[in-house]
Amino acid sequence: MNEINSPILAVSGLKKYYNNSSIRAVDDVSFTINQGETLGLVGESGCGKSTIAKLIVQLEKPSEGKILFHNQDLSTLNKEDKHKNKTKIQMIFQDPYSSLNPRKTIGDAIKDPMLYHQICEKEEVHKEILRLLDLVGLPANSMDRYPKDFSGGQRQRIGIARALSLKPELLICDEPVSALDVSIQAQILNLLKTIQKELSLSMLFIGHGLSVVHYISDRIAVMYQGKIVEEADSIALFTNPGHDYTKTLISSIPILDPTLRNIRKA
Amino acid sequence: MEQTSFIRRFSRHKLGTLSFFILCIISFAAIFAPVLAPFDPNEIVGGFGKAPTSEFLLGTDQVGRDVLSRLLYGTRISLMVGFLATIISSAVGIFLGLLAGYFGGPLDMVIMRFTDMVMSFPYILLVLVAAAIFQPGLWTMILILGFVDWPQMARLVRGNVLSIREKNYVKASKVAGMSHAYILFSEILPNTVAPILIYGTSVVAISMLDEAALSFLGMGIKPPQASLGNMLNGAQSLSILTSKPWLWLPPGLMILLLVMSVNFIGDALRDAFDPNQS
Amino acid sequence: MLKYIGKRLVIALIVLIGITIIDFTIMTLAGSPLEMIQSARVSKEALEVKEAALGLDDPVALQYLRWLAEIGKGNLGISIKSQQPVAKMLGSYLGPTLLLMGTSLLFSLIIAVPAGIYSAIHQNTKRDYVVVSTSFLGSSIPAFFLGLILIYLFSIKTGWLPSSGMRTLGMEKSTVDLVKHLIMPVLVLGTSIAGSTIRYIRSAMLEILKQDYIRTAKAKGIGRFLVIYKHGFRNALLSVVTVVGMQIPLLFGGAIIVEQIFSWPGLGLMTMSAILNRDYPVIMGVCLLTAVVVLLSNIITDLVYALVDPTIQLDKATVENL
Repeated sequence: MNEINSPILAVSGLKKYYNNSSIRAVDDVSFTINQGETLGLVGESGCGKSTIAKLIVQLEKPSEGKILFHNQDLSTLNKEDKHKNKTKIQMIFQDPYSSLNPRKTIGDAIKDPMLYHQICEKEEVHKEILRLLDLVGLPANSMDRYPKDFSGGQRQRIGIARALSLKPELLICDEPVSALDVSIQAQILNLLKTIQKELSLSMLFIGHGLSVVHYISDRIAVMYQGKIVEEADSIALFTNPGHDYTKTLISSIPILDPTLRNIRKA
Repeated sequence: MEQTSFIRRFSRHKLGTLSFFILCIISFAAIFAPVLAPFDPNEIVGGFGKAPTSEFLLGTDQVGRDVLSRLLYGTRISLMVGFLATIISSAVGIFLGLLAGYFGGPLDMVIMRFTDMVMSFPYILLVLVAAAIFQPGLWTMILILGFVDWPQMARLVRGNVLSIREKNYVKASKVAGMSHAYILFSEILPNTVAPILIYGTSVVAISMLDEAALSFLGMGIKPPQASLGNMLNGAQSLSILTSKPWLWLPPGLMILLLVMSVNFIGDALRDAFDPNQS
Repeated sequence: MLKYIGKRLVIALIVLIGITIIDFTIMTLAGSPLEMIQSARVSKEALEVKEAALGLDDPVALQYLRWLAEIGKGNLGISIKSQQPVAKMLGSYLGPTLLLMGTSLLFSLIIAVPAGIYSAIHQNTKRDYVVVSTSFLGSSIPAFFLGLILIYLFSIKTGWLPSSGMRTLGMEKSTVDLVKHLIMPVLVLGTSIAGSTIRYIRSAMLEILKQDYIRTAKAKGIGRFLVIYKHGFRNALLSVVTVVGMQIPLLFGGAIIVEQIFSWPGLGLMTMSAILNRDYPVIMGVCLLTAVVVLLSNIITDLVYALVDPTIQLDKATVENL
């Protein structure tokens, strides 16, 4: 919300085409995320929002356009700087079931990257993992257990702990709750919200339903067929939707959420 | 906890369990052949081609060596060739499969075309040509079989890597900036152990059969060193085939028993690893 | 479709050239074929003259290119041992081998397809276990051991079948005689591939049985037999095509051993003697021929696959999940 800060992430003219440009997954997208801000990215499945997440964390290369992190193009960095910067953007995945290696204990899964990047001393690592597990609300004995012992919601908490272990500045959440039961969704959303405040993280939160995205975001960008069709303050978007697709999204929210209901009535 | 349920699922395969014990007993006998064998396997200790007696439990061969002692030592060779050749071919196949599947692109293309090359070769022909060229013997045999038998393993591993590569935990590791070596050996490889082990058993079986076949054709282990295959070689002559069954039945049955045990163990492993079997 | 076939043929050609390079290098590592005809009667000088005449003293790469150029002209060279053209030798030995391989493949399919389907339908019953266990017996028994047992039983003990060759010497050519000679080799070669084929067909059939349309058809009340044989047939055909494609290299390899045991006058017997004599042109000819057959059968397998099941894309354009 603080417009004075320089943006932590600035995306401009981003394009990702597949199959010799016959599929335009991301088609000329630009947006910024400010320090400590949560930007929501909403749109139907297949609109290209997950591709944006993959492009930001460099799992895929853009066809065109720039992604600037702290005003630096990460793809042009030399090997050493790239390695240093790798920890600063972390991601939380949609499917918690495939996001943990079934053959690794939770402790090892969190420990290995921390030691690899020398985030903390070898002697400290045990304590640090316990702290992280506590932060995401998991018991200390989770450390020696395997992913199969955990539910979807718990796995998502582990995923969050693993992402936080590298002390990131920007957290990319790719539909982190859409694979979970509705009752669990709220818990994970609250956890993310608390952590974001406490650690003053910047966040890109991707979702396909406006109610979830609205709950956690300061600003919302609406994506439709590879383009951002509207971008507005979280509340302004509801009170004054500009694009037809945004209106469709709003009208598809069940009117159970009292705050939204009031906004819509107004 | 995980291990006990694995053993339980394995032991539900009765023939597999039986085979496991049979293989243990045979391996024990083979390892301790120097202690167990009544005679030196290469020494002439009795008459030519004598039928089994209380002294020579399985008789003697054409030159007067004790068949039982040779059987024990031959089994030793078979097991050695089977397991060592499998270790070599698995190492080669796993390495190439991991590289091809993980890095993809031109490297994948080159490795897979090379794999096609080796695979579209009638494999025994390659082994025969190689055996004719290099000095035949135990280690040549192990190396030849090891370096010929990897393509299937490479394909299997590559296929697995292609699917595991898309898992979120691998992506998470990439996002965390972990090294390729870490991702390959710590994230991907441990998740391909089951198919590797299952396929590995069939490679053991195939290697033992090939050793026997080559030695039978006179292109493998050369006498006087005993191998199950070259013990059968003599049976190509009609007089031995008709009147001296103790010379060819025991080694033949031993190969059959060994190969079958390994195959059944592979089948039991398949059941035990299968997540659909509760 | 044509573009796909063209692409596959080009790749196959590259693979083929690769194979011949490997073969050629391995063989020249072995040493001169003339060592094999060396004897007291042939002087060293005479051998050197002969070596030069055959071009064996040239660098390997040159020898290979010369061989390749001759292949381009359709000339496979001349056997060092028998002085006959390799093409002619391959031609005369190929027939018996194809007869042996073809009959064995047919025999193994006749056993394996029904057995595999039967086993799958009765999954996890005693009958299934018996079939699967027997199939393991089939793929575990060494071909030469089975051959010896058969010779012992049917040639020596009973005298029903001839133990070697393709025809009885001095007898007029007759189909009955040929069939008699063919039975045991086919039994041995067929058994060795029937085992794995049974298990492959079984697991393919299990996949098919799991599929929704079979369940739907069953629910609609179509008889069990009809469901399996009508709806599953096309898919079962696919697995048979695959299995035939997979077995062809194995058949070639198996034929070498089986021909040796039964003195079947085919490529295998010829190859063994060529290997023992280091008769390069012949070995190269055999390698080339088998590689062509195997590569072609791979391509044909994929094409038949595409014809039987049009839903399979030949040129998979991988669209990553958006």
